[in-house]
Amino acid sequence: MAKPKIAFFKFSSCAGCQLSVLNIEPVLLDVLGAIDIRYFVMAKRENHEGPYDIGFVEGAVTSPKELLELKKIREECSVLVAMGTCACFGGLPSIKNYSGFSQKELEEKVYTELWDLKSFPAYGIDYYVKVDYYLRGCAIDLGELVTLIKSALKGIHPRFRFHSVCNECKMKENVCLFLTKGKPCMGSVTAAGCGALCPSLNRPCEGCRGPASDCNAASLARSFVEDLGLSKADVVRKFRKYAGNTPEFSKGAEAV
Amino acid sequence: MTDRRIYVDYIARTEGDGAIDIVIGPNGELKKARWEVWEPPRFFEAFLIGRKAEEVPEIVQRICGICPHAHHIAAVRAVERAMGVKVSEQTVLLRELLHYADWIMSHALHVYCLAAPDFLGYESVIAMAGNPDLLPVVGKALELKRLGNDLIVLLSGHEIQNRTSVVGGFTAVPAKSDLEKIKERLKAAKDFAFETVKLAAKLASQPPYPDLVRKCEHVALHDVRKYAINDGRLVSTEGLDVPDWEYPVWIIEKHVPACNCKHAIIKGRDSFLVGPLARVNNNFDQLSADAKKAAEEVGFKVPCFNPFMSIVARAIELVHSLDACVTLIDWIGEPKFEEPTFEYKAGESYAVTEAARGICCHGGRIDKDGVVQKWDIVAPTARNVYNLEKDFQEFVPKLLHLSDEELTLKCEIMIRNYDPCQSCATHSLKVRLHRER
Amino acid sequence: MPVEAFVLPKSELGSFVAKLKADYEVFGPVAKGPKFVFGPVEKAEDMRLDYDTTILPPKKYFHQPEQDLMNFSGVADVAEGKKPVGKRVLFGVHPCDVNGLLSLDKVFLGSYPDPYYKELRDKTAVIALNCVKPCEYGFCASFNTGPEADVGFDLSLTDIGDKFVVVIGSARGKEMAAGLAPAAEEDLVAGKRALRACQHDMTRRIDVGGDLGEFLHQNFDHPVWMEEKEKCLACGSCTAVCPTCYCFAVKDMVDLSLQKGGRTRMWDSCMFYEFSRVALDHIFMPDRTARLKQRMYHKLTYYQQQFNATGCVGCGRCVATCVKHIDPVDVINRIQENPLPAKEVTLYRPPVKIVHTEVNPWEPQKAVIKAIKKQTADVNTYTFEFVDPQVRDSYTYDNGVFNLISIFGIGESAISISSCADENTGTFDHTVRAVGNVTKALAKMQVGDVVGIRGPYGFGWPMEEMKGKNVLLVAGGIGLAPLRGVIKSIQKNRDQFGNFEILYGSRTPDGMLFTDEYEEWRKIPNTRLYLTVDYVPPGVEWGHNIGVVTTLFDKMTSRKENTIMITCGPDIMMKFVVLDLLKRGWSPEQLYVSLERRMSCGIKKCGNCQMGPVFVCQDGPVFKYADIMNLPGGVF
Repeated sequence: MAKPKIAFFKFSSCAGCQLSVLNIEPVLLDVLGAIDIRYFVMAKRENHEGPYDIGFVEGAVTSPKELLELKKIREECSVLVAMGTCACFGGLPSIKNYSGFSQKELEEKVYTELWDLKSFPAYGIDYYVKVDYYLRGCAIDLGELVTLIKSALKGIHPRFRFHSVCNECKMKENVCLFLTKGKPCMGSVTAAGCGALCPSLNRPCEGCRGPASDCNAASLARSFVEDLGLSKADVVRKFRKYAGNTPEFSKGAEAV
Repeated sequence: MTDRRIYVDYIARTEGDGAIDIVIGPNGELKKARWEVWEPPRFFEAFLIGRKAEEVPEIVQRICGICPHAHHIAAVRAVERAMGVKVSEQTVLLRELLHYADWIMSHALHVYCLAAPDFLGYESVIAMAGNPDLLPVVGKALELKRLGNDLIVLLSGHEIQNRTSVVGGFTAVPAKSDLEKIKERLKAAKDFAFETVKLAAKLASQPPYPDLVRKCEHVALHDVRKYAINDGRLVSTEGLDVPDWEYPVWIIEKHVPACNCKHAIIKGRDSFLVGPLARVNNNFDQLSADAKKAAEEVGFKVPCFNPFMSIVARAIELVHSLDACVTLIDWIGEPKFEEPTFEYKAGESYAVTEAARGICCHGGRIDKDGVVQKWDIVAPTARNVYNLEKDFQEFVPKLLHLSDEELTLKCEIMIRNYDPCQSCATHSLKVRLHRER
Repeated sequence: MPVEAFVLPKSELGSFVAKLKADYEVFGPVAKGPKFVFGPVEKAEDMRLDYDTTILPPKKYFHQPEQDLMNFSGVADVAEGKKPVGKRVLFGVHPCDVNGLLSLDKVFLGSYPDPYYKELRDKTAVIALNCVKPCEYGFCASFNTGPEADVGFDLSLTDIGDKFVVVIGSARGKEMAAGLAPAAEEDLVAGKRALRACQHDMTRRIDVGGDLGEFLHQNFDHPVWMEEKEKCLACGSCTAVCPTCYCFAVKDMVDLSLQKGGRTRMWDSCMFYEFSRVALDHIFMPDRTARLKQRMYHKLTYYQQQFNATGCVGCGRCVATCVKHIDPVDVINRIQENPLPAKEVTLYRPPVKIVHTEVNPWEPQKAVIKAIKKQTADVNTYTFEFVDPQVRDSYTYDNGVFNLISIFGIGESAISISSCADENTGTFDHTVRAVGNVTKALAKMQVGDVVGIRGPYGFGWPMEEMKGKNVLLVAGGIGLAPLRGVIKSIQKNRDQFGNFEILYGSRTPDGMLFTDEYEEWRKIPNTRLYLTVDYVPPGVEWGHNIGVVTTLFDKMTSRKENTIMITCGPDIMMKFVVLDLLKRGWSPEQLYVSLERRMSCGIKKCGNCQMGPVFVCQDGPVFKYADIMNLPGGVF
């Protein structure tokens, strides 16, 4: 079987998810042997035009330039993977969508010269094009990345399960941060796959992997207020953070 | 005769998206030398307004996936200063250890995966690994990078984005036994770090690099007691010596009409360089004994104003980082868990850390409810842009005899010397939509 | 018989545990922050025998969160996934958890005993610790699963102040108790008194004053469930911490060679949206209310129906772990305050079939593809033959049952057998549509390739019942595959059956299966074949009916008298087939349906195919409609 042609692209993001590709050191050389990386500006000087078998896209789309590129990328890639929370849901850049400032006000706050700046609200790439797979998380989980690559090599659909972080947290028998310490943990409505990383480190889940399937964010938002005494602004900040664009977390932000 | 134009629409093996545009006139005069950073507008400084103080370190570490800890620690310290939060000695040490781990990862990545292929004539480390002679070196380099990553994961839970460090301390601390295990690996990695210094020196000694010297101001954090990484005064080879929280006064941005970007200068002076070379030049005395020995072995002397020697400085810092981690682990001893606590208080302050690629400054104003009123970010790459263009102006005329292809590569190497991470350039506005090939 | 009892002074607990350590690995309740977990114990002081409850139940030591089922290297080398386990003692298990294990035993050691669970259970001694103080959320008294354990332990301890009363529950327990002083009468009395006092103090209780199952069935549509649904986060914590929940998912994992890997089962939860997901992303239980009710009903009644075991042992963990404080006691109390009008209900009883195999039920047998025949664009019929001649010769099946086809490194898929049970060819057919990972991988295989197959599983078509009767066969799409064997059997034994009619519908003409066999079927005496499609694309010739399959009912000659109707197809089709026939006066007793659910393990363990109290894989897949029509959640 010919090696799959792979490409990595970056939009508005921190490059951490691309870097993750190089962070699988123990299997990196094996992976590199099994795939043909055709485009990866961060790691290669020689980069090739499409078409590609799989394209990994990191970052949110925030400008007309990026949107044009994204549409071209979609055409060039048989399989398109949204890599990381920014590409999946808009990620942290999407906070600006709900900051209460207009786009012009935002631009004026950061940039002194506006002569050629064009940007619009930050969305995940599936706002504009069809996405085949999602690697969630800020940054992505290395295990899921390797699973996806293996699935591609085997020619099968990876079955990622997006049930709650709570489930993984229970497997680790962590003391519940919400119930025991009164911390506003979002694990119950956030998609698992991280191995309940933050709660296991005594840190409440911030929802970086986006909503769990069929989650009930509104109910959790009510508990934040009623049980933990969070303010309405606190609740909005919680749900309009990594995946504030999603309808599920929007329900949480709008519930109180 | 027409102009000779070199245009590279992206610079590979750097993080982010940038372009070089160089125009050389018919008589060999440099008409234009520009490094353009395409900065995706993410508006961190804008959307931080209205967020809670404790969210700032968590959010700003996501400015850059390569130096998240530099951003994080600068922000966490700025918030703590603003709100008057005191942290324990252990927290200070753990943060330092975390940041050094990041340096190990970042320097190993840069030296072997991003820079070495240039000097050795490969398009990438992937191609380098295809050479059976080089494969063992690549394998060792990946091991070293993994070591940095493993230490990062041990301390912060995740390779890229830290999960444990928060305002007030750490939500979880590693077990001593795990630190001890990693300590042995750090010690064992020293030999390879020495080899790295030798390799870097060999690569940088190839012509024409040794002749390409340009004196400019080198700025770094400095601490008389130890090699500054998370804290210290802001010093320079031109005599700057100010507290780090005064950076907004001393590092200023000048609008240059000819160029559509902001140029960073030291108040009253000119462009400046930050990064490993600047650090080694300013803090050579504070390097570990072995790092100094490694420098000596390859004949590296400070002050050094050859930007191509950055790779050597970086390798020397690798040796130092391994030593520093071992020392820090000994000092930390048995980490004990301390619940991070803080109270909201109105205040304004700033702090600076040394990202692997240079100083990283954060700070702002917080109101009494802990809500951010203003936040300012000055990232290393943005500082270096102007200095780099000066490198172009100095060096390109010396390299005109080279073919376009060769010259292009040399220009790229000049950029990669800075190990730029262009996501960091949070507000260097350089948008160029018209592209000509 | 008087109980055999001893005493263990608390001062000697250290030496008692030290003695156990010589022979056993010891696990017990240890502190984790302000909570407790079962964990390894070095010395008695590590244990906190005053613990209330642990985060996870001791289930984790038997039905482990992850259990390797097998390791493989391609198809060539397949080995079972057992890891060597030493002798272990589980010290200080509360009665609720002792009973939880007894319930799990029914699941894992009943039909198709699970060798992995069995080994861990056999190697582990249980020292129960009766409760002398009620815990915050427990309600074990409701189910007689506490505060005292009657059975299911090797030793049981009761705290009577400065010592424990030790009751022997097994020969192994007796050995462990060697050297302890016999209990005096007053010690036994003190123990009983302590337990009675505890029981008295237990205020949390579920008591509906009658059969809980019937009560719940009567109140299936109670508004309380909608209220709970609004609260429920669907996080699945309740099922993760439940001592009797057994559901799991099975996943194949390979290394980068793509050949070497393993098959692992992992805890799963009916509370998850994707729990009942099948290929093409169809989800059988998409509604959160349905999932919430499935859990509650499963605990409080279905478990009893399925395994004749207590589904809820009243440990209170699901309450303690729920961010929204959803509490079965509270829910039942609220229903009781305002119940729906009582009505007659019959609880579902599954058919009894206990299969005990000496071989590992998880281990597939190698089977080679002997022939592949293309049916439609994405459907093939594969003829398999077991590689091992002994397996091949002893393999029999009924029409309508299924096998699990395994492709190592990708997974398993439940597929019904499409050949005829009465043809002794040594081979069998599967007619498979390529939709999921396994079936698509199968579609890429060629004659001579080897897969793994285990089975057959389930109850097939009622061939005996049908004898002497007329048969109406209604099929839709790929649903004809499990019915093909019936057609062939009737053809073979034509005189044993009456009038025979086949109604077959498909979406389009090119989606029809077994088209080259129609002529032969039409030649079967006293048999008619009716075909219909939903849609005929332009330019395609079609000389038969157009419309859904029920439109053929007006054309057929079958009448309800002395007739059995058997149907298989999409749920929606079967629903209308059944409704239409019932409207025409047919009795639910004469209607048989083959249900399609997410069958995953095939042996009534993984829970994926549960439909209310029904395990489709073992109770079905073929059901008499009368048996399931009164399921609380309905069938279709």
